[in-house]
Amino acid sequence: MSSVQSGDLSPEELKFGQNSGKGSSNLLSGNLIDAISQIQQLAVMELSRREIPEHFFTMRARLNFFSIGFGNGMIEGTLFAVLTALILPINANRELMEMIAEYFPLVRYKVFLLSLNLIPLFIAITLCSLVGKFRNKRLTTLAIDFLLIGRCFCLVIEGIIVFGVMVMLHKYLMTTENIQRMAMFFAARSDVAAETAYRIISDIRPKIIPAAYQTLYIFIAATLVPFFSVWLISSVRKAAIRKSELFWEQE
Amino acid sequence: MHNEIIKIVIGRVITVGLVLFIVPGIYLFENEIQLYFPEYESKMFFAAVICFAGTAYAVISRNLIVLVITIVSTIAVPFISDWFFYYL
Repeated sequence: MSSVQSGDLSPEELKFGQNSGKGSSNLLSGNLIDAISQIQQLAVMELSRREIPEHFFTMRARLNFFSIGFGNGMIEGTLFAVLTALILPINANRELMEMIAEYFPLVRYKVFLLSLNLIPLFIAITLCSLVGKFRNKRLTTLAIDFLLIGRCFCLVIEGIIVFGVMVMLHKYLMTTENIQRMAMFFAARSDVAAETAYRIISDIRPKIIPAAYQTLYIFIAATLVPFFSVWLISSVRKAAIRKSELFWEQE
Repeated sequence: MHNEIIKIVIGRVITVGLVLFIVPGIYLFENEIQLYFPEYESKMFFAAVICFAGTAYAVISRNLIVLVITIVSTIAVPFISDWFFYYL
């Protein structure tokens, strides 16, 4: 029987950063798959042993889970912002879409572009379905909560920033004068390039505000998914267990 | 114990059956699917699946190389598919 099955895990086997001695947690260090693996280890240990004190899961370990969630949310949010910036002109201008479709034929499909924009939401759903079933004991609950809170926290901040940047872009940067100035810059090279640039940017402008709201909704959904899947299901399950306990106590 | 084993076996049979049916089905029943979704193309569907799975994995594992490989393979799949069927 291995040490994992017997529940006799040494601190070296539980590497969730609590005894790392590094003294600081880096926001971008750590990997989501590592965090999920550590939650699985913790779940096995909690199933094997009846009672583990809450303070076994130290402040450093909690902060590490928070920072892994935060860093992951940051990467997802940045990727989402980059994808939105790439997809917006493609959706706005047919000519540009045909030009890119020569090398990347998938951009012709609106469903594909929309699904690509929804990637943070898909990742949130995958993550919640992976960790959701472990949220039944005290330490695993803490670990999952810190991971998801870090992620949600980052997504909220980044969603507001992306929305703000897009609104600012529409209001101050992409004015008619600025578009003409940009076209003049291209005109130094060729008239066709200037005309194409003017047409593409003019097509993008009216679609920025709807895209900004769409971005905000997607970020809100990516933030709310953990609440409604993991936390809500877990609380409903706990309430059902409590109800059955009360029923047997009455008997 | 007996019930657990039966459940696992039934689950695996259904999963394998679905995979064995769906993967060739996407290619074999392309015309039938196009009756309902006229823009559907099998090679594009596979390219999209590769793109989504690879991007999600690259983001979760924070691996830029995986992301680059995913983008390259997404671009390459339709061309390789065309080339393969042209010379077949």
